[in-house]
Amino acid sequence: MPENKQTALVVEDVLTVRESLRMALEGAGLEVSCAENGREALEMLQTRSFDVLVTDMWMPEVDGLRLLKEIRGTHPEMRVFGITGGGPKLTIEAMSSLAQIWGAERVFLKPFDDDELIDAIQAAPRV
Amino acid sequence: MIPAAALASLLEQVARRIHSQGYASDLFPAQWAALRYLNGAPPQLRTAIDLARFQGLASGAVARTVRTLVTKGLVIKVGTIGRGRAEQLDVTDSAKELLATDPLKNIAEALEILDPRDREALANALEIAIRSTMPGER
Repeated sequence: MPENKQTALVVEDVLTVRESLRMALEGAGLEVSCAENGREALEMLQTRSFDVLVTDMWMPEVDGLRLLKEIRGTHPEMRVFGITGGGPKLTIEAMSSLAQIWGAERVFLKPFDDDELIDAIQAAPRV
Repeated sequence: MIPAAALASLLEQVARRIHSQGYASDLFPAQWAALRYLNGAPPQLRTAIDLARFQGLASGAVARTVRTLVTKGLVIKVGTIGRGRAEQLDVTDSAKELLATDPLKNIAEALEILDPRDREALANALEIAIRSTMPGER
């Protein structure tokens, strides 16, 4: 019988962080796809869905907030986790609040422990 | 159409009322914000420098806020962390008791009555408002 793995989409513009997250999540048993920014993620989400979305909040082209707003209506069942290390025009505090308002279950501040993210993904969704 | 200036005034009054309720516990708004952060942040990010980064504030001002909270017995130093040997902080039981009476909770409870559409409208409005306060947005 084929194994029914949880699927995750990692959206992160920094290659090293993206690959590090991919390895950590694959190590935890998830089937991971990656996108370099929100635009690429939106294109992928037009044709398939994922159980979990892990997205950086500050990215070029389409940032994490815009991504969250775009998918609220189309992928309401997908669990979303934000990650952020700061960026222009908004404080991390404001970005974290906005990310949670627009659908992120939790926002992780860089640097964070991969295990914390994995624990959150494996925990029951917050209602 | 509802006047934007009146909305801005009301927003300011809400903030001022929350601050006023916070003063009743002998704490300034920045001190409340620091306690909320230190109570919720992961242990490795409970430092004055991470608090400053989170809020986008100068580290000197945040260090003074933290010193005051330590003096008040609401925050304790629990060791050092990282290569820079930053002091790792934690909130005390007294701070946790205080946070149980956080004036923000009353607002959150009051907003529970909003239906999804009204929440979305408020979220959009608040996002526009917070963005307007950020450097380079005007």
